[in-house]
Amino acid sequence: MTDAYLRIEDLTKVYERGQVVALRDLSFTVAKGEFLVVIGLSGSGKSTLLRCINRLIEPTRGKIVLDGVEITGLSPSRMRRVRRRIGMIFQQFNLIRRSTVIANTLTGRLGYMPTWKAMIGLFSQDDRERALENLARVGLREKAYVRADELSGGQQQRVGIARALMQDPELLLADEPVSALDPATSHSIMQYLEWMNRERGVTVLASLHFLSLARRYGTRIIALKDGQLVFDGPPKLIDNAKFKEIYGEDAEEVEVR
Amino acid sequence: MADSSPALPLKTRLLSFFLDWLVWGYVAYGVMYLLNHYWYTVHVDWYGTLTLPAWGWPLVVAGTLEMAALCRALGRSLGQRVWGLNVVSVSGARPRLGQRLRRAVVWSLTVPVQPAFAVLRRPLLHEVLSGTRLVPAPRASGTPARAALLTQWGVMSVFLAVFTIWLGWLIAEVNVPVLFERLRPVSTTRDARVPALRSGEATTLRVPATLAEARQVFTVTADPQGRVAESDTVNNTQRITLDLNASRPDLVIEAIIPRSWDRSRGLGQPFEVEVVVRNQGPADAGPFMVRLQTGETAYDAGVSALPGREAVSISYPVVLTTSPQVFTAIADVGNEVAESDATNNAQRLTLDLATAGPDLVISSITHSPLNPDLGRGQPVTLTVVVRNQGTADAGPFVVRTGWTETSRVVEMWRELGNPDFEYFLQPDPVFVRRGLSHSILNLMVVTIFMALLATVLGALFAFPVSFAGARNIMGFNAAGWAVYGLVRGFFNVFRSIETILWASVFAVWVGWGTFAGVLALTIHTIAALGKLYSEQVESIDPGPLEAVLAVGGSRWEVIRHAVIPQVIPSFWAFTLYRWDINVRMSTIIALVGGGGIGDMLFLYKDEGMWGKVGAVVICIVVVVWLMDYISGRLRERIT
Repeated sequence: MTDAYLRIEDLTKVYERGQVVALRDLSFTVAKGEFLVVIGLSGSGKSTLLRCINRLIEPTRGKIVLDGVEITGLSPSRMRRVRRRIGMIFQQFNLIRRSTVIANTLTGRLGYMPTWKAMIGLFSQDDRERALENLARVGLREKAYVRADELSGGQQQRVGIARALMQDPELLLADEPVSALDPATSHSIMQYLEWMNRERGVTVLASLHFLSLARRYGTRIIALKDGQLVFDGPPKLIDNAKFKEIYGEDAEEVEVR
Repeated sequence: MADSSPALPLKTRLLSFFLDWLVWGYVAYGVMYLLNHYWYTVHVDWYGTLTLPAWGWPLVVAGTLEMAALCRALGRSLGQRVWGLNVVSVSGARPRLGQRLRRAVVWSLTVPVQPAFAVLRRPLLHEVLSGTRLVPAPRASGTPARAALLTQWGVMSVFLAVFTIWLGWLIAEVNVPVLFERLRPVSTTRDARVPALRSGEATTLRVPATLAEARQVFTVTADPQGRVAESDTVNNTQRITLDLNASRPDLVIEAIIPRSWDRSRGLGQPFEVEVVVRNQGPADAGPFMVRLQTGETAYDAGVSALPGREAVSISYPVVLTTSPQVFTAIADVGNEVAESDATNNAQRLTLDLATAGPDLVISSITHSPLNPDLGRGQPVTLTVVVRNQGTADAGPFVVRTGWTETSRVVEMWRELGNPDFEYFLQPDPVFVRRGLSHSILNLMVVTIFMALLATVLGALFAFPVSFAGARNIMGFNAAGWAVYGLVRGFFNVFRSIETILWASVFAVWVGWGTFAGVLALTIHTIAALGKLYSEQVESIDPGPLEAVLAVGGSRWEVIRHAVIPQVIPSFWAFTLYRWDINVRMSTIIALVGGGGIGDMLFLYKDEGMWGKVGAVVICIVVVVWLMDYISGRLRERIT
């Protein structure tokens, strides 16, 4: 287990209000360069799991070890240094709608800047060039100075990817990146993630709703149900029985083409 | 009976009861107020006699308590409705009337010991003995069976609404008739008795009076009661206008005298009518025409000049064509003379072949010289000449004299509608004497800058502080919550104290003037903008915050890169809106020493210079409207 890039041990998250247990003694490891897809019903704990990894949500119990560093015990400032190498993209894109695309992209560099420079918004020339480069990579070079809310959903998510690219991430957390998008756009976004995984060697943890997408892009799938691990293995091992176990008896598999 | 213990928290029970008691207390208060009001309206001299005896208050308290209890037991009271409670039988059914009555009676009898039962958490006596309970009512579903207004509560609320408006009408001393009364002219008269006046003779009366206004009308009427059988009863009144500030001529017809006229010569006889024109004003009158008119015929004569207080006599050759025949003389028929009163220029004479009769007229009214330096309220003596121009002697009669004051309200509106822009550019000497160069334009500029400065300073202060007043920025630990509470408390308290109160405080602190005004506006702006800003910060999309945290940003960086970009447009909009408010506020804070255009406004108001007030108000309206328009357009562009 020493070669594990990310190791999660007995991770538990209990929300104080209402005593909802979101994660229950969850343990698994992720090797470097994997494309791990997390599947499960809504409320099964996928988002909580991803947010616990970069401690946007504070775990109640358990250990998270990233690249040999136990991040559950880190001080806030040390945690920020860890976070800057963990990219994250969101279901609702989380862009500042009134700001330009390039301004949104540049926020990806905040973790690398001295605070005073960040406070007056003094991004270096190098950062700006890199932002344009990354926008060009996701096909939005000519939209750089357009307000984010003028873009379509797929374009906004590509800005989110460009923002994550700005971090030079080793690990990418994608929290249902395509749930708000139509099928065709979903594939284009997933292909960018696949590209990051293959060409840049970024380890990807993505939570997805559709099993078809998970099968197509994941190198490994884990499934959560009520905060517990119910499946861990390669995509081809998920058969109909397994599917029913994860999604319940009434579920019917839908495919995204 | 284990289930007869109080089914709901004591707090809910007490609160709902307290509301019912409050309603009955209010009704009791209102009834007493109305009783007092109408009692003393009728019996003014018995004021203070309608008082409650010492035992009255406990009676009122007990009575209201009892009414509340009865309402709660017999029907569904307001308090029960508000807290969603219902009285049910232990079996869960609707209680019978007997049970309800028993509940009320037992409650009334056991009130003193109820607290003990409640504290010991024992079943309440009135519930046990009546077999009823107060329980949370099931949520009403569907539409009510009866129209809402026909239910007991509907009737009650209509009654309370009407009652409240009635009470409010009296308490706020609403008096609609006074609105119209104040528009009517006011007249004060006194009567002088004349024992007799022979035909062709005149008598002189001296009337001491006080000039209440700068410009006032004095009216004289001979025989207002109509005691004398005159040949002409419509020519008995004459008037004069006294004007402190203007010295003008005032032409009147002093007398119309028929010469060489003989009743026995009958119709068709030629004769002469002598018209005496008097200038009863102090100033000279230039050339004017005097007309004598009878029937369709008019004779005009010219007068080249008539000095003040002098009279001129003109003779017209006429023919008697009918009987009775009316001759009307009009001075200045072409309206060429600028008189102090142009409505008193005509007089008439009726000649009747058949009967002889007296005919009383007011020949002239003159007054002692007015001194403009003494101003309003100075004494003045009026000299009235009453003449009998008829053919018979007049018996005893009275002469009624009096001031006719135009309503001050009408006067005010007239002046307001006739704005005086004399000091728009040129400084008003009233202020120059105090070493101040105040013209409307100057002060308007000062006012706009006061508002601008207060808005900018206020926004600069409020901007950083507002983040400390936002729950989503501060609500992570105890210290944050404490700061949040403190800041929000500051905003709420300082915002609820009006700018004008702040201005009075600062006027004492730093002295009267614009600085006090700017400080007052700034303080209020900080609090008002701070609250608006904070609420805006609280309503932002939390997504970008998460995103900035996820890339390794600190809390400060989150504010800078995720919060501020989201809130800046609405901050601008609020600030512009506030500037707007500040311009409006700064026009009136001079009332308590805040400086600005109000300095002129309130001085003119106090001096009753409504024309100048009108000019200032028009300028304020123009500026406020412009600011409103500009900031409205800017706000549209921003958001």
